[in-house]
Amino acid sequence: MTQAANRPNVDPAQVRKSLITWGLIIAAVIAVTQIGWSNIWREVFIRPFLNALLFLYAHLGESFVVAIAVFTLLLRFLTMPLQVKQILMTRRMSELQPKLQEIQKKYGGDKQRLAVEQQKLYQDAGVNPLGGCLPTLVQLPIWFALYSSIGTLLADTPVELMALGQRAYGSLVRLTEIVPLQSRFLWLNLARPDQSDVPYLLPILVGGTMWLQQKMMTQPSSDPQQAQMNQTMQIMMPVMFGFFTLQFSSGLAIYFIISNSIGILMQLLINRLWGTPRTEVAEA
Amino acid sequence: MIPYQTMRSRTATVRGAVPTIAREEVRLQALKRRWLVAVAALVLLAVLTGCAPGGVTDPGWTVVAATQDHVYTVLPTGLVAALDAETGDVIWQYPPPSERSGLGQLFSGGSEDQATPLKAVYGIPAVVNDLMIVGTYAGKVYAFEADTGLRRWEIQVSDDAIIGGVTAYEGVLYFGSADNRVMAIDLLTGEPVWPLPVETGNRVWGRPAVDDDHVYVGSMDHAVYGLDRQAGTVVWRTDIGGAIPGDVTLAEGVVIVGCLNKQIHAVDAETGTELWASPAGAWVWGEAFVTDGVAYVGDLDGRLHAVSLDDGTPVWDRQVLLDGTVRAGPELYDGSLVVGTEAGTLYLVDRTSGQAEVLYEREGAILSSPAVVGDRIFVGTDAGEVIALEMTDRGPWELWVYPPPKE
Repeated sequence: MTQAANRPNVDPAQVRKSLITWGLIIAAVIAVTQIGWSNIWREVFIRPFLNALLFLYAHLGESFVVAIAVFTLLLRFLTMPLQVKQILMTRRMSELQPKLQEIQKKYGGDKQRLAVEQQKLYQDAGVNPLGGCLPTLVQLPIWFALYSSIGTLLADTPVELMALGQRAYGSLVRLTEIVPLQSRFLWLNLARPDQSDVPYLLPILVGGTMWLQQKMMTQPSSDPQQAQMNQTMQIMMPVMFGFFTLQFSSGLAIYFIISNSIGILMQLLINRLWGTPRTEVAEA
Repeated sequence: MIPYQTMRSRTATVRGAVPTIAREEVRLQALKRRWLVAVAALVLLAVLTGCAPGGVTDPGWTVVAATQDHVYTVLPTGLVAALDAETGDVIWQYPPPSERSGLGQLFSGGSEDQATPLKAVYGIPAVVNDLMIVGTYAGKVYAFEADTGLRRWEIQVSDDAIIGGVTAYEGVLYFGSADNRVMAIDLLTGEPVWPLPVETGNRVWGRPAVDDDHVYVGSMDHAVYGLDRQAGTVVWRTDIGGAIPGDVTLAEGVVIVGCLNKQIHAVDAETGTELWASPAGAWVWGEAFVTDGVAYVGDLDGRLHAVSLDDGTPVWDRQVLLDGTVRAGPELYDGSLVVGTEAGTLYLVDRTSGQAEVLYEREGAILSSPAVVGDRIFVGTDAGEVIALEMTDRGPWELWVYPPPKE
């Protein structure tokens, strides 16, 4: 009886959650050590992406650009809950700006208290300040897998063609009939960077659509440093991606242009549904 | 939306009213963290994408050609070398060591006369008339003097890649390019021989086979072509139902073609009529080796096939399955076949029975054909090594490895 009374209160739900988390971590570690990162990466990302694109290519008139466009739409559709969440989170963060300023005014001298109060505010509002990063992080492996898949599918070198033969799911499409995939689109060889007389057109389109998308998605901030950082990022990211486009296969550039354009349309739709956000700035 | 300028002036007032030092520190730290994350993400992106100008994502294979005294190779680093067949000593290299070391190479700017490493070579070099000829992914053909390594000429023949090797015949070089064309240029001067290149419907990755009258070549447009050797015109075109990525073989008036439709095809060299097609079960890429009326060819699932030149029927009563993809064609050594696999194993296969024995194993895929001269076998791996084996009564003896392993 005494022992039972001294036993700390244990929440069974919490224990279950911890057990599941640790189980997943251990399973992941075992999988990585047994199968290897490169195999997991290949089987979980590269092959499904590659075969999905191959399937779309085979069934959509053997046009690689059409396959990329439909694939992008599908990806956008699958990641839509995350994207909507990101947009809503950013809106809520924006709406919290006046309250954050009040807290800063009140506890600016006490760092610890300031952090506690900010955390409390986020909790009460149901906002995770890092939640907005998740969709961007989700995009990273998609980009890398697409980069690899496009190279393998369009097979500009013998090694890539061998990889295509090894990675394609045999029963999915009649590979023999469609290989090699048509890599020409307008003046572009989709397997290579644009080496035509207008090599800056794709970088400008990638950078331009990215800039517009970011501009539409970034919520106004009452914090001047935050606003300045947003503005810098709005310029830096498109410039960097424009630069990378000079090195990427133009097929990937096409993906970025289509993806950004869909993002812009989505943002327009969300603005229409929920209205353009407004930030109330606290007056001194 | 509040105009940025207005927002800034308002918040400036707010900031002025607040104790700021601690808050600024927190902000600066957060700002620093975000920038670090952004820069790290971009660096990661740059590293993972390779930042490879021109888009080439792999550096080519180690290709080897040999004569009685010399071994000629191009490594994945783009280094061309002539080696002593007996000792493996370097006779010459291109670019020469003096031109590829230090910062000079980095800041050379790549002028016309500057010796720079070749960009991705997949085809076996041709050694003819004291010249070593090689085509590159950058669409250039180089001619080096075989004895000295002096670059006799270098010509940009195509805007696209030369994947297969070149075939030399009576002073003319024949080759295909990834911009769908077949070309013929003079061996000594590099000048075009045909009025216009021959256009096919897709990339030409394989090396042509040539006789007195015709040039035979496979294209990724699923067809084999017979061209008039003098005029450079299409004499016949035969669709075989799948892409042809590799070299074609001419033997006894028959053109043997490996195909991605998982079949080995035979086409009459004179008329282009398809004679037979033999199922292989996997993509067939490598060049066939034909001797005594039998064609030997590997497939990408690691099987080696022996089929009759007459009707394509299998000669062996067993399936010869090796330990990895057979990309390149076999060569003949002392009545047996020498063939390498992607797993880095070199096999000796009995021509009559199909019995395969492991000759040599090394780390690094063997993706191009070995060269056999007398009792010596030379083979390149994608680890960037050339290995010389001497066949003795007690088995194969590793004569040398180039570059020599570091102690």
